[in-house]
Amino acid sequence: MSSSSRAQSPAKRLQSELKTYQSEPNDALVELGPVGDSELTHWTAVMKGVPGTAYEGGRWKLDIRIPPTYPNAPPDIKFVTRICHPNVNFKTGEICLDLLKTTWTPIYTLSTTLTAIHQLLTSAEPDSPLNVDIAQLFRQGDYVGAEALIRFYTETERWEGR
Amino acid sequence: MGSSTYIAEEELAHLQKLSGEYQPEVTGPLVGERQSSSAITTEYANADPVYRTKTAALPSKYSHYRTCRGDGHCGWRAIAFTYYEALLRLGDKNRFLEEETRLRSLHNLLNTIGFQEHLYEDFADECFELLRKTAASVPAADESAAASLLVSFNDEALSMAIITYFKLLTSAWIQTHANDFQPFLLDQDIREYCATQIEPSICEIDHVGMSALAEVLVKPAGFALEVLYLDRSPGEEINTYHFDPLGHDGLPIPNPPMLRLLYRPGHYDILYKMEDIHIPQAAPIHVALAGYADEFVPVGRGMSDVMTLIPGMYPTGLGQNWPAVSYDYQPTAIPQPQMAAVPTYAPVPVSTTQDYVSHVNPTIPVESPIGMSINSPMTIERGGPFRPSMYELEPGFHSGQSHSLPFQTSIFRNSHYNTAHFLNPDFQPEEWTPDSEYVTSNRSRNKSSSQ
Repeated sequence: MSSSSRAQSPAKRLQSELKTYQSEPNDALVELGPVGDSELTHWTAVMKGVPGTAYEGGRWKLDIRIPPTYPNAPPDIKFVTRICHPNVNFKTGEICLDLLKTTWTPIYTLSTTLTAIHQLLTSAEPDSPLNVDIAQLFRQGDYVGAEALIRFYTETERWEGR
Repeated sequence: MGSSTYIAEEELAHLQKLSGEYQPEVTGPLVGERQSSSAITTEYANADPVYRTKTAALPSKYSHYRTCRGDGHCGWRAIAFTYYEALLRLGDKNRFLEEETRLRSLHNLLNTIGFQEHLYEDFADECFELLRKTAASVPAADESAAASLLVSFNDEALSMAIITYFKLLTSAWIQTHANDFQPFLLDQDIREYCATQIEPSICEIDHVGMSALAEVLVKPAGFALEVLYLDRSPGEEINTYHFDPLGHDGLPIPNPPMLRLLYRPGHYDILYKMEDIHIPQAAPIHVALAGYADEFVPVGRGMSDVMTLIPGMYPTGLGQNWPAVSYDYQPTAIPQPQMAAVPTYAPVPVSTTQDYVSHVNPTIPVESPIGMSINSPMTIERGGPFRPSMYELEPGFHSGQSHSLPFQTSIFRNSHYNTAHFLNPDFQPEEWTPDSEYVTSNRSRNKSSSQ
């Protein structure tokens, strides 16, 4: 009955989010927007590093897939640029963040979700790791080794634009 | 050794991920059709004795129920649906507008908490749109309006939008009334509680959330919320929890419309009493009763015995013995309260024997007409609905049966409705027969001893 009007629901929401982002940019991001004009459910973002941490100076590209049930279901966000982080899978870029799974709430936007991912950079949880190598360094208290490893990948894997 | 630990950990992480992503298959409509609540009793027929005892008594009080899909939103959805349904039942278009205005005024709370208007207005608009749509369907027949509401709530996107909106209102209410709710959250931060237990889209309502939702949505609308907790706690009755609304004067509102939920650990369904099903509007009584009989008589019971228990209803098929029907109702009409107070259902069988189902079913027709006679707008007057008409008093009726009819009450005996009364147009003197004399005297002796 109303399914046809509902199908546009993510599109309408995404357009309003895009407009909001353009008027109020996110400090954690270099860019955020749809990949192309035709495809509104596939976005991409480039995230900045966090000054004063091992992630300083980094640039990471993220791939954002938006399900048709958005905003009732969370977006699927992955790192395209490889990042060395206990809660991010080094190969696939999958992110372990409860916000992207169980505690997703429809009042989060793509921009605020990326802010949460940005905060994850400095508040890693090595006890639920997706990258066991770096998590093990954290858990053994080898912060010098961990920081060195993160700095190495932050520099060598840095996203340099398209 | 080190590498094998890593592999084990990776494996564990993988298993953890699998179990975290596991979703049980849920089926069925988001909100189901209304059905007889004896289905619940049947469902628990082979269950734990505590459940059997508790559910055996259920259908006599709550005649019908409606399932909600157990997808993790059932509590929220059940309240949202019953809220709309209660508004629809009131049948007043202005109430919908009042509610919309009231909910809009709550947006101040949402803004105070820091929810952004351009984010929640989509959900709010869906909620208001359904309010307006339901309001527009009020003048239509009850069934089509209710059916359209049911269709709307089975639209996943729409019902999720309404649930999300109600969740945000609840969250804002909790955060702006922190003093009321903080004691129940122990040491948990109230903002964190709302972010993890109220706002997430996949998150079932808990008791604190339900209290807050009752405060923000149900009570100010003038509705009461009743939750039956069906669990294995000892006892013979299902524990019931009430959220009662207060009027502007601070006193409880008498007889508010009720939203009733049945809680079984982890799941909510919707319950109805017989009185909830009828439209309280002054519709012609025959229409309402016919609607009831067609739609809601549980399958498997003959319609005739239900009909005979409804005051004023004597379908043509029963015309022959209508005086006997009216006798059943003399006790409720004339002041003989002790007669009405001992219906057969009083000793509700709480035994755990297997045949309790057969005890339960007869309780329904006995219970329902009593509830109806109290609540239906028609009061039973002496002679009113029982007035004889040419259809009931067919000539063959008297000649064949008048002697064997058990005329028990003295009031009828001495009234002109008795064909043995000289004022009766079909006057027929009583003839003495030894058999009937024996029966009558026996009965009158019983009667006098009971009075």
